Amino acid sequence: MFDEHEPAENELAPDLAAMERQLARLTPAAPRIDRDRLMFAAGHAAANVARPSLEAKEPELAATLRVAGRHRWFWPAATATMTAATLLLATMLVWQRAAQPIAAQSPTPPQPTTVATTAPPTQAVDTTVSATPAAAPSENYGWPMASPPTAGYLGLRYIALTRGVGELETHNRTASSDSDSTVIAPATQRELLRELLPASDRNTSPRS
Amino acid sequence: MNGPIDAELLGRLLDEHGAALALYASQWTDAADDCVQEALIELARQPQVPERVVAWLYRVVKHRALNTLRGERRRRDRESRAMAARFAEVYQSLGHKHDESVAAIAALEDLDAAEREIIVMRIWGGLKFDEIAATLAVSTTTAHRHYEQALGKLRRLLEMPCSTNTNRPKMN
Repeated sequence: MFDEHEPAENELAPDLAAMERQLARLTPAAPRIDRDRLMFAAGHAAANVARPSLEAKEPELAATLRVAGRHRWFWPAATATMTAATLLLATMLVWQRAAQPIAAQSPTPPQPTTVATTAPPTQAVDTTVSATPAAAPSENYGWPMASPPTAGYLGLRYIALTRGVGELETHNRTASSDSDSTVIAPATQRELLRELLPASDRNTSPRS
Repeated sequence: MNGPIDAELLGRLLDEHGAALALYASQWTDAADDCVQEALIELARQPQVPERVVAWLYRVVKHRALNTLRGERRRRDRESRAMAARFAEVYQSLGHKHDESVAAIAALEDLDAAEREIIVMRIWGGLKFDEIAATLAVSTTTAHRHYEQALGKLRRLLEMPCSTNTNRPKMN
């Protein structure tokens, strides 16, 4: 079983050589290995590491396999990216809602107290305003509010509704002391229309 | 022998060295056949045939077997059962009267692991001393000296009275 041409210095003593021959007569059992399965697994393993040699022999085929391998990761990568983006947006949404808690809404928002009266409309407006004086700006029931108007007809209306008609005089005095132009020009119909209905300004064609 | 690895070479290595490799692995593990198979697959994974392919296989089989061994218990019992079973199969199938064989194998199991390893590689694996030396990472002279010592110890064990071998596993 071993090489007969090994150096003489490796030769054994006769008794040890006899021992060696005696042992060599024993035959170990062959391994229980499925030959076909082994060849299949070996071929599979060889194919997995054969890329570099394939590169040298068949560059086109190797390039095709390389591209296919790259594309194999495209959809998983896209899926992972989209999932991450979705989670990020969801987290931001939850965070935003938690940072701006909405006020508890009552099922029916309280209506401003209107007093049935036969007084002229200016008095009715006055009564309504005094019934809901300062609560209106702060209690908006969770609805976002635009910044209140400060000038023009809407500004005057806002002041009259929120602070009362008496405040109009104060406002006018303040405005006149702030600016030199003490004379407020009366609003024309066109200016009022433009202020109240800004969209109508674009739609109306100038009269000839 | 540094050409590509093909199915013919793998088949030849399995036929010629499979039994000895499995016997070699059985020193450490019950799953000796799996170790041999994994070593052959690992060989197929190599870009070229290693220079000393048989010695390379013994190294890989030992590595695999030792990996399998980790975490297992009662190593000595398993060694005895596994190695004896490797020989018992053959002698049962041939119907030999195998008293001498039983004694020889029992004596083999009494050797130290390193001594038994070198005996298996030399006698059943057919490796040259330089290949054994390369596998065990020792010099050729050291490998030869260890082999002689192992054979001498084996002979002394076989010359001892049989009463010392009563605890050994039976091979029938």
